[in-house]
Amino acid sequence: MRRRSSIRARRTTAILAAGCIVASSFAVSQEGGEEAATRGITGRIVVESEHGHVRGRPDLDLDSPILVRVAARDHRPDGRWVTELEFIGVDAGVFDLRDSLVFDDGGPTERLEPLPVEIVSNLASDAPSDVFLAEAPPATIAGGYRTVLVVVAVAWTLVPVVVVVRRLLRRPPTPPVPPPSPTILDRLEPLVRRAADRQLTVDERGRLELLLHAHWRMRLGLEDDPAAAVRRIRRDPEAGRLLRRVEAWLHAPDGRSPSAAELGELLAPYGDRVPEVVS
Amino acid sequence: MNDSNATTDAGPAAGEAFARTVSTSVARTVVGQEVVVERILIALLTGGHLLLEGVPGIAKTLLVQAVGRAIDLEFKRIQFTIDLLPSDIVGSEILDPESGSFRIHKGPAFTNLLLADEINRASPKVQSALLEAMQERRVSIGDTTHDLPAPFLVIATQNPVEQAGTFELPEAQLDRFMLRHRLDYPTFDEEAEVVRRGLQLKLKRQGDGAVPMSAFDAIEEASPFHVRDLTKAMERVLEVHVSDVFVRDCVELVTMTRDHPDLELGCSPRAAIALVNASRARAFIHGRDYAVPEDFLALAEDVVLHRIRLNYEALAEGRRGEDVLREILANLA
Repeated sequence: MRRRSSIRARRTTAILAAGCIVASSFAVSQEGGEEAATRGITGRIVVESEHGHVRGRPDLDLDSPILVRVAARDHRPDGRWVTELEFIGVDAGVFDLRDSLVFDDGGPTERLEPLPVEIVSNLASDAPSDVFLAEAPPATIAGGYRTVLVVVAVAWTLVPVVVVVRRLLRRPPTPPVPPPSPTILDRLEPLVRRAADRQLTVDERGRLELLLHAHWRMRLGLEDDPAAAVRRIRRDPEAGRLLRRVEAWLHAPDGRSPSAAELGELLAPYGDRVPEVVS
Repeated sequence: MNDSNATTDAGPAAGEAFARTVSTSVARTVVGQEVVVERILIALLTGGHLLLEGVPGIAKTLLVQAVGRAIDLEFKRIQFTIDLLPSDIVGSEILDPESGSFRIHKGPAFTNLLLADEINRASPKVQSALLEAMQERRVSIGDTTHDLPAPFLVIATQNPVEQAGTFELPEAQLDRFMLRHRLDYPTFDEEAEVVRRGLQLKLKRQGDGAVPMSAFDAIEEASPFHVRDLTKAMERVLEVHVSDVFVRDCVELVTMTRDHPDLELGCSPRAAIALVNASRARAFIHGRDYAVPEDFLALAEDVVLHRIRLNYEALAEGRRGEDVLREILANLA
């Protein structure tokens, strides 16, 4: 007894489930005798006729307000021809599906009962849309992901390019005119004057001697190597004689300062002002 | 010994004669390299140590041995290798099987002139042992400390090309060398003369056999000088006058290396001391009793270059220590 009731409950459940599935698979509702379907969504309708199977009109195209295709066919034992049709509404409105059908034998579809279907649209009436050829929405920051990506990439590339180009085009600021480099003689002059007055400090005496080296190096056009240059200067008849006397004055153990006359003679060659620039 | 009066003569000419005699004696064996002979003499006269850098085969060992022979100095040579131990240099205690006690075996460091060939091939531990001996002029073997002979001069060599498997001397160790001199290849004429001299070498007979003589066999046995002549010369060097102006120049040069924008490491005060001392010796060699700027200008490269280190930016720009030093010398005034 219990087993029978259990079987009955299972059958009931199965029927209800099948009913739900069928109901959900048909996106069509029957209100006021009209089949209703959402625009662009496939709807189904079953057409029974005693004159034969029907099918969609062969001249239907994407511009037609409604498109029809055959989903299944059956010929019942009672002689009725059953055709299950799928249709897609392109435009919103109420249509008689018979206008989109033909009989296999080519007979008039007026032999069928009217087949009104209503195509409803969930979009606003003025929303531009096309069921089959969706127009790309205009690129905006909020939408058009690919476009936005392209724009960002271009900007990403352009920024350094712009920076580099601007830097290249930027005019360098006019460098401040450097003060003329003091010539060796400019630097020698005060030291020579102080030497004549015997007021040179140790540091000044050191600088005086090294400036004399630099003076002769430039005057004789000697190489950059200071050691080699000094060797050559010492071998020069004029420069060597003067330099050795300066060395004896500044470095010799007796340390005798030259007399005013000697000093004048010693420093005389450095009195001529020539345009030399300290290297 | 007939020229030994050179150092006993008073006056500035004594040093010049001493140097000329040594150079002449060395020149009978070694062709050219007068500057290196001068540097070795400077090191000998001032008690500094010398690092010679040069590719193999330019007579570094022969030169040092010839100078040692010219002044009658005891000469020893150590070839530095990776497996050398400190005891191989300074010596060790050895168990005498007959007496059953330990006896001291003195290493090759106990000599006047020690040639440390390819010093950068030994491990830092060995380098350190030698450099300590150089600094302190004494070594410890077991529990006892031994003074090294006087004079004691280390002349180390480095091959600047082959650096694989070597231990570069750190700056602190390099600083202990008074001078680092780079040897160049001989000139064309000098090299031709080297070859000609090689052609004149004969066979050295040993019993019934013989081996070809080498340049080492051609070093004169007779020494024109004795160690005491060197000592006198060293005394004379100490009498060479160094003016305040000269000291100012040397210190200025050294301090400028510390402020130069291309240098990461400048010279230590030891460099200034070395520059003044070496200049004194050079003045003596050139027959002057006072040092002049030419002396420190000539020695600046050998005193300064191994004590400075270029910074990354300067290295990236391809600058060399020589360039920086030349710039400093040019701006010294």
